[in-house]
Amino acid sequence: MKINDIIKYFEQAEEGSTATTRRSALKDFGVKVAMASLPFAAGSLYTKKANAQSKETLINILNYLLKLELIVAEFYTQAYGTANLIPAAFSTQFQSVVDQNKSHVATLQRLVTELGGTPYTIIDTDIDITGGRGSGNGEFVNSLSNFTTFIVQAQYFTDGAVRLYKGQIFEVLTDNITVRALMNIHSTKARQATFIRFTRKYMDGTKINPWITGTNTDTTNTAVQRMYAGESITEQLGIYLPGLNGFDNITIDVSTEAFDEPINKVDGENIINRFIKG
Amino acid sequence: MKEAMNAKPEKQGNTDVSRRRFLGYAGGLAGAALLLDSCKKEDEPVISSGDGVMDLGMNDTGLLNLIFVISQVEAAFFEQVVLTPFSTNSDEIGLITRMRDHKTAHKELIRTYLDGKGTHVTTDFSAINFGNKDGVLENAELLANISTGNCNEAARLLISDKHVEIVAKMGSVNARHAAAISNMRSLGNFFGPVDAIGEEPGILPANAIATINRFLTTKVSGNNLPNK
Repeated sequence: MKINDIIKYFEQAEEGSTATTRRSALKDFGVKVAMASLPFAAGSLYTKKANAQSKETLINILNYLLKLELIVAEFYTQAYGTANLIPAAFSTQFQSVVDQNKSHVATLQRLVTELGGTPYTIIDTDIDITGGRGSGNGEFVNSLSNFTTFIVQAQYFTDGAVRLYKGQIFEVLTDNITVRALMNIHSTKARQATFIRFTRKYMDGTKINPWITGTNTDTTNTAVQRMYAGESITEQLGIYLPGLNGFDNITIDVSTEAFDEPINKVDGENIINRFIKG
Repeated sequence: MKEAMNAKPEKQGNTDVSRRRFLGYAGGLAGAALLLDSCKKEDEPVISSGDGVMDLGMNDTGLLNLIFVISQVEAAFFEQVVLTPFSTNSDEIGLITRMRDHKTAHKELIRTYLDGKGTHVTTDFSAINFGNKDGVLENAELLANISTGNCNEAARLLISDKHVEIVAKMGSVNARHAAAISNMRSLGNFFGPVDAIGEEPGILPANAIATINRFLTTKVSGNNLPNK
């Protein structure tokens, strides 16, 4: 593609972009421009999927995230139903988390409906917050019995939400509205995770930071660890991070902390389906 | 004034587009995409869009370049906090030290990915009293919020799924920083700009740049970045 062609493409796209459509033609055009206007190595790394994701794919993705949200909502409902579990000192913040999650449910439901799909539903009694697939005796069976086990599962769900949403953001690229919603929700989840981690440290004295170090060595609980698999990556975009460009402060731990890793849909389903009656 | 942690040498000699040839390209693009040569060597003049402003370029490279610039500013800011701490609270300064390290990782990753052609900036924090905790944390939260919101919006504007992925990976860590700083400013505050429907709104490149320019000696512009 010649430079003049690129300019033409660009002008055409500028004109066309006033008619906002749900699926952005701008991005398809943009691939061509980007491919052509990058006369250096990064250009070869463009791997945008050629075809728009189908509506069905988008609906499936949104319903998968909806399932996670409904499980987490039930988790908090039961936590609130347990006397003296939610610490009074942080009741405002926990209420914010619950309210935000309700909004996330509403947003996902609306997006599914707009795309012509049927939002995922499940009756409360088919959710097993112990992770026992309906047995009520799963790996998180002690979660409501004391604050320590409760807050660890809350951390698992919030860090996990960051990872599960992140795993879908680049799967919905052709739908700007969905990309925007998932990204903006996902950053709220990261703030929730920071709150949960702080609360755990504050209430419980656990030495823990706002971010995930390695595969989260602050807990050795096997069930919890399932949500942290793959978090210890030290390479991004094919570039090895520790000591990069002579910066010794980019240690192995820092390299893993500085990037939250996605969980793909297959792995995510395997994790969250444990909370659904089989 | 402090150089934004760019003192260390970077890889040299892997530039496959010569300066002269690049300028030819840029001319053809009517001044757009000046990203590819942005003052790599100290003795070279700043390539500007004519008014002493460095243009960040266009498309994905421009958006990543903006993240590179913001990350440089954050890293330099946190570095200054570490050098002249507002507090003897090792918990707070420890967290900020670690945030500096994370931002170092972000900026060095993008610097390397852009093959050394990203825009190097020099920061100016002369308006900030680093001994004043409230002022320092207010600015720290502002920067972390800009960093987070910019990533949120960039995900929609970027073309390559690979780029969206890396921005999402950094974006949630930026959000963790912002929330942690917010809690340092006021115990129990974590959600900053999160709106009534539980979303943290994106920040358009133009708006991120307007804020970040307050901390730069030579300003940057994003006139050729996607902005809607």
